[in-house]
Amino acid sequence: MDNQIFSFINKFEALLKNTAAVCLIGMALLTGADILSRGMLNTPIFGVEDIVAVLAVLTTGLALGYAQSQKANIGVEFLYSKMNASTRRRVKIMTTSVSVALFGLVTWRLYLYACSMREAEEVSMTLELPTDIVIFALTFGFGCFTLTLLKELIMLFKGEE
Amino acid sequence: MEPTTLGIIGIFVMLALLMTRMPVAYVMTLVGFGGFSMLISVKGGMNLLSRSFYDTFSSYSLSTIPLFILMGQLAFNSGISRRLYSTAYHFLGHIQGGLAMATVAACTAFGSVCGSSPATAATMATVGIPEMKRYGYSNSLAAGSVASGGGLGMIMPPSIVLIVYGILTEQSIGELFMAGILPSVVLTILFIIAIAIVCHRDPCLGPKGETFPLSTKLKSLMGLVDTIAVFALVIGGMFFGFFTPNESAAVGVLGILGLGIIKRQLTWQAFVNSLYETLRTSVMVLFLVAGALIFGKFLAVTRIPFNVAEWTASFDLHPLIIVSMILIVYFIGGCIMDALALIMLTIPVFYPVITTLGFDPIWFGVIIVLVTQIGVITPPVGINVYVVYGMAQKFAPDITLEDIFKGTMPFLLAILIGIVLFAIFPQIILYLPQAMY
Repeated sequence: MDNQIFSFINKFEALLKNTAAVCLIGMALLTGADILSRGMLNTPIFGVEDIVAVLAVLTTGLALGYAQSQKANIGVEFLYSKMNASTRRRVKIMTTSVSVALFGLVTWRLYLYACSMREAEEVSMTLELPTDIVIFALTFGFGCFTLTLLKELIMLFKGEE
Repeated sequence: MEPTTLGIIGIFVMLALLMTRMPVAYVMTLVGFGGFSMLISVKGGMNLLSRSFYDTFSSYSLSTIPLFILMGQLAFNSGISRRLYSTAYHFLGHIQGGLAMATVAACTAFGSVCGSSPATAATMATVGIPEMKRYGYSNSLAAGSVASGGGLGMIMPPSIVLIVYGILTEQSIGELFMAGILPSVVLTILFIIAIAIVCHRDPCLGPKGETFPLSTKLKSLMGLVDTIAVFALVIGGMFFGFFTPNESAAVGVLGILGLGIIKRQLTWQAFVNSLYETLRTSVMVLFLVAGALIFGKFLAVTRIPFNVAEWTASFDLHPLIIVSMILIVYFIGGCIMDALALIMLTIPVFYPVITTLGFDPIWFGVIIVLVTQIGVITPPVGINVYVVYGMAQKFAPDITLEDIFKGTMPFLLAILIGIVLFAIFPQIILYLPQAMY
């Protein structure tokens, strides 16, 4: 059962990672196209900043789970590396539990924030894109990130690093 | 509880949590949220969390960071480094220690398209170390020059650390980039002098390489063309007001991507790997920015930064002595923590002190990046040393960590001389931004 859930999380994470990668290159291509359009046709692409901001949220937000599984976030090894294996495991369980709670809270607050933006019918400056959809996408990214942390916590309890 | 007392407790809690290897960004978020909630309200704290993450991740100006990281990753994967090394080798290879000098020069040139220090070190390790080993260079000089030269990528524009510093302190990224150019050149010269002195004392460390006729040397200059073109387009475009930093980064990405495709040096797999590595690094950087924002808001409510600024300004000490004390904190911190994390953690406290003392924020930004650069080649963190060690195992397994740390010592001294030089003559840093802006 655990393995099926973990396999689902891994597949989901890979899907989000690939979507984030497409958004990343899309950001570069769109900005490049805007420069070309401005230089050659003297017409900038309408609302390019709005679209780039949306792509930026998707790029980072959807890659959160992948970055966590790749241990991308920096920590200080100085004292931790000097601890024995069992102390390290206990410390890791404690910090991962705190992280799950913290980012679970962030996910929930982002969801409420998106709902409030929907109610207020908040839109972007130029293209009038609904802001709530973007925040929902970020909430989704944070949800996946929290799931990745939760997976790590379960693995720690099972004695797997 | 008094806000200042709570702020001090918060700082101690943060330091204690950092020792558990909890990621720095998570610690800053947790302590910032907890402290802010206690001082203002839990609802206010929770709103701060959601707003800070959304504002950071959706910021148009911060979208510069993934693009510059992607530019560096594409440069890393498209063979630019080999051409740069070849040019430097043609000009410097025949001198005693010339291959190590060529490596350092190539590191600086590569740093101009790649804002990451470990990426520069990793790239140059694969190109420089086999050549140096072939000519009988000592392990310490070969690996030490690559690890230290890689650090130059941190200060040479487009430097990711300088971009983040600029955004956090609301300084012009263009000015910061300009300010990084001369110090990089001066440091490169100091590194080359250090190599010359080391090889003069013990010629066996870096024997002479091949001598090339002038025509071959001139022909090798072609290897610089693509790097100069991309650098001129990216930095020049921003500098002369053609592009915003964001647009410059996009132009750099497309420029290197185009060159990689035309020259058939960028495979599909390398392109995909560049994208994934960019995602990984971008999340790390932007998470840190969001964490620093939350932690900074908490500190601002406690008024600690302003109290520290007033307190230090009341000392009857020369401002340079106070700055030196701050730099010592960065030096020690840089030895145990990643440069970017350290800068983001400390900027909310030290930045008001620096501005109160009347120092130029651009000068300070470059100086702290230089000081934390020391951390990439000193134990226990020494990220570049571990990167070079890891890469060297593929083609020179006899290189040990001890060799690399030993080899970085002359360069460490050169960086310290550089910092003193830039403190005494701040114009080395400020000349270009003042002349251009």
